[in-house]
Amino acid sequence: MNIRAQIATVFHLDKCIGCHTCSIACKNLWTDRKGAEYMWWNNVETKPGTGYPTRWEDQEQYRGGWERVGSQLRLKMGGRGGTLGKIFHNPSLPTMDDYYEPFTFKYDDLTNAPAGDDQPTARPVSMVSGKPMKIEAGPNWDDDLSGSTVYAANDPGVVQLSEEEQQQLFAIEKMVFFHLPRICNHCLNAGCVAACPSGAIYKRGEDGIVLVDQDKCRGWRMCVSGCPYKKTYYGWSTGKSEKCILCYPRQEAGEAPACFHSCVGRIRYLGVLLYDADRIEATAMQEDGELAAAQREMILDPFDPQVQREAARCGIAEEVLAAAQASPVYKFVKQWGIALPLHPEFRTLPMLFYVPPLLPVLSVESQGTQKLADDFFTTLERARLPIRYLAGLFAGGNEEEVKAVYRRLIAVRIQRRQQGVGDQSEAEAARAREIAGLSAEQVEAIYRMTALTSIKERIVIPPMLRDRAVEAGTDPEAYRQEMGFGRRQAPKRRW
Amino acid sequence: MLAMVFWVSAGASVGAADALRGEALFVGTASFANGGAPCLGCHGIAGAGLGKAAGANYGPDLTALFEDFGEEGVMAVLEDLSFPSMEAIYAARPLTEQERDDLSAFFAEVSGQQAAGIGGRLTLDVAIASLAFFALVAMLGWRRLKGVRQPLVERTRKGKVK
Ligand code: SF4
Ligand code: SF4
Repeated sequence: MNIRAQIATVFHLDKCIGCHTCSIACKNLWTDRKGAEYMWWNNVETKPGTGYPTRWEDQEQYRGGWERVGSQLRLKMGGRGGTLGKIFHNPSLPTMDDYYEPFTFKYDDLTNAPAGDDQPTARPVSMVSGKPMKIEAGPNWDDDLSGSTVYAANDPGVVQLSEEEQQQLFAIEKMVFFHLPRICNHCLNAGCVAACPSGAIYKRGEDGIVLVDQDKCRGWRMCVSGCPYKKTYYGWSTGKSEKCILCYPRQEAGEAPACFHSCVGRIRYLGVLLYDADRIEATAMQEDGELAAAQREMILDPFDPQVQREAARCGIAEEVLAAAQASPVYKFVKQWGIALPLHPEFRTLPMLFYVPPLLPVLSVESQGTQKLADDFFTTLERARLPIRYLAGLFAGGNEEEVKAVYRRLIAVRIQRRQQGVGDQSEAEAARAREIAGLSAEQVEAIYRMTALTSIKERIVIPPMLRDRAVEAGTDPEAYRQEMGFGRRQAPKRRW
Repeated sequence: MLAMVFWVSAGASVGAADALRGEALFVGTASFANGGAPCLGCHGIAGAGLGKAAGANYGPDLTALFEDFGEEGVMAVLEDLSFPSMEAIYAARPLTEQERDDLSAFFAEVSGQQAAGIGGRLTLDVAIASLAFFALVAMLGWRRLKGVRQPLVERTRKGKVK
């Protein structure tokens, strides 16, 4: 066993209200710069929808992630030869229009307009060329199903549904959507790292955060096509690629990442997971439908004495082990089994897990409060949002995987209604728990973690022990003077 | 191989001026006794079909040399090296008398011949080559950065979406 620690996260989608506070917190902190205007390290998408950049999930177009070729795992964009062949003309990159041309408005024309009879206007200007422009797209152009005939209708997941399911999805008064906040998944088998010809992207040994070395990056942009989630961005001003850094400078100071800290819906959970790095390849080779389960399998139990011994042997500190035991992510993913990875079939083994949304799923009839236990399965089959669609998002098409999660979420719902509202019988709640395979205590724990926790319980940052990592090879005083965030020299082009 | 043939045939007739040997010296298949560079390094002779020889454009074309200077003139140029750029090359590696005779005979033979119309063919060749090059570049970049969003919007506007 080769045990490593990984900072992993869970987003509870039922709680996301789509306010975009997280995106703005991140933008103000990291990407509010020239050349980085269009980068949304954190963005919130509406599903069904095409997301950002447009149809990023369509790997026939963008060729991100991995595929199985015989008994081997290969980048979908091609091997080394393919990368070299495409180094000057990579046809799988998103265009500026697929992101959007960043814009601002000539506010001066508004505030300094001379008194007159006409209403002054502020014309939109491009933040790239500085010229007046027509705004045709934005990072949330399809927010809350706006333009759904173009965007929601062309969601790669929706396109795969049957004609009937699609009609059902867009029937007036039954229309349904949910929000999907996305950041870099800090994958175990990261496509961006494998694609970089300069070796500039690396995964930090002690916590698994994936970073781009700004001194080594040569701007080839192979990470942009290699990442199936389109979460690395090319900075047109510096000529370097940049991506979510999981706010590691904040975490090193014990603070939650900015998007986690500011999340209004408190949907975000963070904690450390232990996994066996020797199993990465075998796990990523599984069938599409098995991937979510295989990924769960790879995560090790921090309470198991054998795992603890091995972890100590692999250099995992006591404090990190303790953090792994308190990790809410471990509970969601492994103990309760209610969080799934996004598009595991891209085979990068993403370390951001989602609790799929229950509310848009519950059947419309009697507002989802009908006696559920008796016809548990038919309820799921009559769901407003087809289970097949959700399985395509979170389980590589394996509907059973998603249904298992929903059975547990419904059990929590029924038990809480029984206790809080009193419109469900105890027998009903017991039957729901039995179908879900949860104990009453577990249901209570899920409810508390979902609804009542403080930030300290939701976000358990392990001590990053940078001092220890550094002291092993360097004089700390000298290191302190050299350290800091960012590049040591200005890039050749410009900031 | 060709050089061998020339060399043998030249050896057989030492003394008499030999245009064939002169041509061999001119194009470099036979080398000058003192190691001078072959004339073709700088001069072309369009009349002998050597006008398009690549790079042979440092000095003037020599088709009409014999006509313009006559035998005496040619011999004088080759011996006295009256042009500075030639002097730099041949002063230390002078041509032998036999070599001068052979070259002169060769010049006499080609003098008055029509320069083959190579200009047009060259243009055609260049045009074909550049077309091929552009076609290759176009082929390589055929799918380059075809947008995703814009075509979606256009398709919907045209009502082609199911
Ligand atoms: S989500 Fe993309 S950028 Fe982030 S680690 Fe995975 S492959 Fe790399
Ligand atoms: S801040 Fe939280 S609730 Fe708001 S959009 Fe982001 S993830 Fe959703």
